[in-house]
Amino acid sequence: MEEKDLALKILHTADWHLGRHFPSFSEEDATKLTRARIEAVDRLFSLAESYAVDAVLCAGDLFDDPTPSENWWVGLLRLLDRRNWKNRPVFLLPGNHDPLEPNSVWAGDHAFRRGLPSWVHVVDRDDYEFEISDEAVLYATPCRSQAGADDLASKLPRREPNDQRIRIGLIHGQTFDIAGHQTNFPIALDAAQQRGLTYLAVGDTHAFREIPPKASPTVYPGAPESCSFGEKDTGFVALVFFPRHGRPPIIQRHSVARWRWCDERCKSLKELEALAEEDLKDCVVRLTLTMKVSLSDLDRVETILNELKGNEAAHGKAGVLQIDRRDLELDTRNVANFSQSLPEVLKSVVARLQAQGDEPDGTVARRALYHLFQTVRGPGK
Amino acid sequence: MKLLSLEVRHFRCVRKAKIEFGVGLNVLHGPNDLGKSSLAYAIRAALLLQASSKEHGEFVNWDGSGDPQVELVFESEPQRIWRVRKTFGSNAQAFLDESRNGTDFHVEARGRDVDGRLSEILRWGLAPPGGKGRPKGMPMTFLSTALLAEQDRVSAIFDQALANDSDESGKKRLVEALQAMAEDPLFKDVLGRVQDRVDEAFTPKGKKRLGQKSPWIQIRDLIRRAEEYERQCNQESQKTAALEIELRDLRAHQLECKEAVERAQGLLNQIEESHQRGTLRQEITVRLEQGKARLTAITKILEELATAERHHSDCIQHVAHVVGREQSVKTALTHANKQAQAANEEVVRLQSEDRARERLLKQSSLEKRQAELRTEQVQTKASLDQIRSVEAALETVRTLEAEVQQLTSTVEDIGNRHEAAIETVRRAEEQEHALRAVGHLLRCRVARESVKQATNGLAQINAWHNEADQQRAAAGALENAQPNIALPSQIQLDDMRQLDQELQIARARLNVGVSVTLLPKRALRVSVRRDGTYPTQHTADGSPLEASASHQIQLNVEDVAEITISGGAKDARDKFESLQTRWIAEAEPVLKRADVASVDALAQIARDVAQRSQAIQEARRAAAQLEQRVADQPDWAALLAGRRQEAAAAEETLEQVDRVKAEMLASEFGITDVAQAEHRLDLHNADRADLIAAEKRLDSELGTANARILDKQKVLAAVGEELVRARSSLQGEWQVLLRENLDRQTAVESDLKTIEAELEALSAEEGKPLTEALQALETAQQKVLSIEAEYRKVAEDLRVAENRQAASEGELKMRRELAAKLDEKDARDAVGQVESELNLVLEPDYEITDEMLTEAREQVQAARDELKSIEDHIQAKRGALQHVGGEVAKQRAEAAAEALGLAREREHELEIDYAAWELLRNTLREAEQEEGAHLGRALGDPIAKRFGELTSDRYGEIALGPNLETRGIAAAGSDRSVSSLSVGTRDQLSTIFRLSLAEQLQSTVILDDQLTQSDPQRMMWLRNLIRQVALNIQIVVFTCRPEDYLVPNETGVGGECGDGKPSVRKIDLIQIIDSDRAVPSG
Repeated sequence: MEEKDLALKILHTADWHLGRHFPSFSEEDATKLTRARIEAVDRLFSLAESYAVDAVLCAGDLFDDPTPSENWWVGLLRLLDRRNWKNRPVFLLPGNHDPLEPNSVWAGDHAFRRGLPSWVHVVDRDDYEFEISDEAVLYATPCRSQAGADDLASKLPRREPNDQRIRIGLIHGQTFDIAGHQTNFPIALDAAQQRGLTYLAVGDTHAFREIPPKASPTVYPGAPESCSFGEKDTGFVALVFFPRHGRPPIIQRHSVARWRWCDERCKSLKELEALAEEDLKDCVVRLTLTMKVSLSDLDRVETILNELKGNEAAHGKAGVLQIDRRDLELDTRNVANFSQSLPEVLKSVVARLQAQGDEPDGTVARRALYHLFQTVRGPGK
Repeated sequence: MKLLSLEVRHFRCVRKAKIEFGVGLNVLHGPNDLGKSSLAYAIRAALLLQASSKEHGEFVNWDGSGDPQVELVFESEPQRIWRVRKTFGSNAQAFLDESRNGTDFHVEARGRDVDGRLSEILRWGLAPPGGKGRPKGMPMTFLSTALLAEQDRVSAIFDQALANDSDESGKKRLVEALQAMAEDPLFKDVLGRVQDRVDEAFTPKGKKRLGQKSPWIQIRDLIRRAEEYERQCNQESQKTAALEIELRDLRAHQLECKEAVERAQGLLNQIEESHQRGTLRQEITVRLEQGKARLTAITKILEELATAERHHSDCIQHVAHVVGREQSVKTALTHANKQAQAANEEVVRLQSEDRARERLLKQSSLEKRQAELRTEQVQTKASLDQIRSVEAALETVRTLEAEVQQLTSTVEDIGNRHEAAIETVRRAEEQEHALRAVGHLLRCRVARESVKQATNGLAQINAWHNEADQQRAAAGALENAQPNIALPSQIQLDDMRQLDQELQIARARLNVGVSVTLLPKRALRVSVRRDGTYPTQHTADGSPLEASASHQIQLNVEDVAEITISGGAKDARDKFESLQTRWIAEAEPVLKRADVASVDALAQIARDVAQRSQAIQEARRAAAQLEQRVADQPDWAALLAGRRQEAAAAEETLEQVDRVKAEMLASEFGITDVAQAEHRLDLHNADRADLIAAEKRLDSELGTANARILDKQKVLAAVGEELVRARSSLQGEWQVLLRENLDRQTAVESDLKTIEAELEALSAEEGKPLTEALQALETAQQKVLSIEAEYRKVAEDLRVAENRQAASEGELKMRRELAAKLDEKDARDAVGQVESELNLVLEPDYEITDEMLTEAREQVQAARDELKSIEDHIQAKRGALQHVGGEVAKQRAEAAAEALGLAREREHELEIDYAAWELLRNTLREAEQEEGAHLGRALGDPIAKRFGELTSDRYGEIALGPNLETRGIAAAGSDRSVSSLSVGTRDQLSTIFRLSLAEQLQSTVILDDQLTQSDPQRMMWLRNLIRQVALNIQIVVFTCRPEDYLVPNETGVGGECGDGKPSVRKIDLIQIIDSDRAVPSG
């Protein structure tokens, strides 16, 4: 399609969750993951620039909290300051994580608001309307609380009979409703059609999702970086091209994520060795070990885990590593091999620990046996 | 352990003795029988024998001067000084006193507890008293035998073994003392590294470490933070979940209420429909009845017309018939008259004589009279018939008039009822107006209330705004009051406090009191600094300069030296300096930053800051809640404007209403709200519709009754006309005429009977021809009379028939006119239409009463009220849900729970890890103890080495078992029993054994005249060994040959002596012991 056939290009993103805490991770890893979110925002801004989009729509949950710490809003201000987008408006929509509240970052007297460039617009009214061009208009409604039962789409105006413009809606909420279930900010599945919208830009769900019909789609771009294990189809933004003559918009999803969150389970040393050979530097790995290994194999396992996790001297092979070793067991059957060369007194210790380790509650004894193995072997051997 | 002093009274042969021991070698010498062994025994008794023991009999003072008493002072470790005081015998007493400085003692234990406590302090393998293990009498263990061996049991150590001890303390102490030199290097290395790991997490007593670097503290801090975060998130999440459950329940309730409303509304609709159908059917039925009545009336009128037509036709036929009869009767009369005239002429012809003539005259007269009477009779009868027809007409008129009167009365009654109904409808309209006025009034009130509510709401919002501002201002003020310093965490504070306490304890341990006396040999300028205070300057010119302090004195002797005298043991000083260094490095900068002098002051500041922070957060939270509350409020300003407009409109409407009357009506009706007014108005409208229907019914009835009156009046008019005509044919009043005619009829009939009798008599007189002629004449005359009578009757009949025909014609004309105005088909069609209409409206299943309808409406209203209440609740809960975070709170709670789970898992992992290290350490020690061989080797090797040196390597390795039992000694290539050694050699081996053991234990050893069988060469070697060992431990030698232990230049020297090597104290017991015996000379 040629440029002249296009009436409008926009980049649609949401769910940045800047300042999100990752309490399940160590402080260092949590910092890495929190910082990753603002880096993703920078990448999506670059994407907007490279495609020369006409506007950037940010559909809520941009901060993880309505009052994020200064680091995050200052960081976002810096990213915005680096762009000089006088003809490319950016629309920031408060979501349910960062609702428009009196003391929130969106409040008019907040330093963040005062520091925003003139081309960045905060949706701070229920009847927000902005003419992006002669051919396109944006309607938006912000979340005003963390929970709500109102369909914010119902506050967007309906299409007037003679209105031929591209009409874009921008809201935050969930497009499903289960009877008896408290849906947060529910959005009717046919809201875009009801309101006569050419495109309904929404945020909340972290997965990329496009809801038909093609002529009037509702789109979730998802989070630009995953927030937890198990999330699928994350790490995208939506580039939307609006052709002239009322033809339906063309939607392209682009990946901007750096981090890949993977759940890995290794049932043998071989599997673990194979995993260690993979490129995991941009991975957040949750590694579950389900194996019973000999002392020497356990030692090898620990060595690999140290390589993956890294230490003060060297970075780990995995970007972020979480290890579940509850099902990692020591097989005590062949410890005699290890004790052959030991003095009698240590042989006696090995025999005692082996006997205790063979008991059903012998976890501590088995661990002690491994400690003995490591200690006898000495550091660095 | 180190002995400091011994004081004995009334002990065996010693009446009194007091000895001060030195730190190294103490040679207590004196001649035989002086009491040396008694003193050694006294030491054993003080440490091992219970005061109440029966064995005290062995050392009762020989002269019985008093109960044996022993007071022994010893030091178990630096600054742990013990004084044992025992009095044996019948007045047995025991005390154990403790002191740090050797001067100030306090009682630690009394009686039997003294021996229990001593067992703990000495750890010589002696069970405390009271248990099963401790032997009676003077108990001997491996260590007590080694360290305090009796003079006559020098070699007893070879027969003793740790296994025979009454408890494990001796072995444990030996293991601890010997393990360092006993272990395999690898084992030692492993144990050391394992112990390091254990020490990371546990104190020597096995408790978890609580310092800043403790892994437990770090993980617990992490868990505490995670728990706190999880608790906060969980609270929010639980609030959210609770609200969602409430909302779900409310929604379920809402659905039920909606269904209830729908059910009630459905029922109401059915009832209203049934009610409307009933009402409609009633109206249609009324109309149908009216139509039917009208049709019946028309049918009746038409039937009456038909009847009248038939009657009129009958009348015409009857008149024609009567006219025909009249003509025939007239003809018959003419014929009869002709016959009578012929008969008469015959009679006249036959009666030509006088008598006959007279008789004939009389007969003729009678017959004439009879004819007259008969004519009169006919006339009277005709008159009577005429009069009776008048009477009948009058009766008909009367009946009709009564009927008309009754109908008129009915019409009047209906008219009255109709007027009353109209009046009622009018009053109902008035009441409707009044109710509408009440409605306006109440709406106006409601509008005013709404305005008031909106005004209050607006005021409330302003108040909340102000309050929120105040809260923020308060938060700002508190924030300004917060100190701009970094304060330590609670854990850091706890660490500082612990450090402070440790420092104070360490300082206190140094405060043992030090004093110095300087005796200058020339004039000196001395600066004295006590306990680090500002130094004082002194000039010492021969007189002693004394100075004392709690823990340190620094003397600066000008141009000579700087002397520092510190109190307390070295390790205590080291510890104090270490703690002091830590204090300066860790705590003081923090205190300085906070500009406070103590940890408590710092903690107070931290508490203040925390309280202020909490107050700030609470104020901000309160402000946010207030703002949120404001945000949750409707737009009261806009509402106020709108409600004011509504109120103005209501007021304007109310101006058209009499307010006072409306108020009175509202009060009268008990109406307090608009809904009641509208409900009342609905009821009223229903009543009014009923009234209007009733009024219409009455109107219809009135029309029907008027029509009937009209019909009757028309019939009455026709009958009246007939009556007038009949009356006009009468001469006079019909009643008089009737009476006269009846009288006349009676008289005529009487006269006729008389005449007939006379005529019968005359007839009997005549002859037959005449008689027959007369009979023929009579017959002819009778026939004439009969025909005349018949003619009159026919004439009368004709008149009556003509009259009837006229009346019938009049009535027919009236009925035709009436019928011409009626349209039976139209009426029938109307009835059919109404019937069709009625058929279309189904009959309700059951009758609906007004009460049922009212009840159904009330049920609908009640269900709606409940639904509204539920919806209000839902709205409120939704508002509340917006405050507590909803989905966000749940997501955070899940993340917090996961984090907490992981932290606990880490703690669990850590516990397993350190439990494993601890288990490994314990297992290593157990194995080590059970293995035990190293004890023998540890001790055996140095003993063998020393013994080898002593005996020029004649003897080799000494075999000691795990319990240090002596198994044998290598000699001449094979193991030999110790008992095979000579007495002297065995004593020497025993001494080496005991010295080696005491050295390992760093304990005092008492040698009671043990080397008497040694040759000078070996004795010299042993003396050197003893003096060498005395560099490390205290050795107390009781001997009658001090030269065996002292080097030559020490011989004869009393008191403390030394050559820079071991500290040697030579004590002449002759000067010490106040003996009950005569001291042998020499």
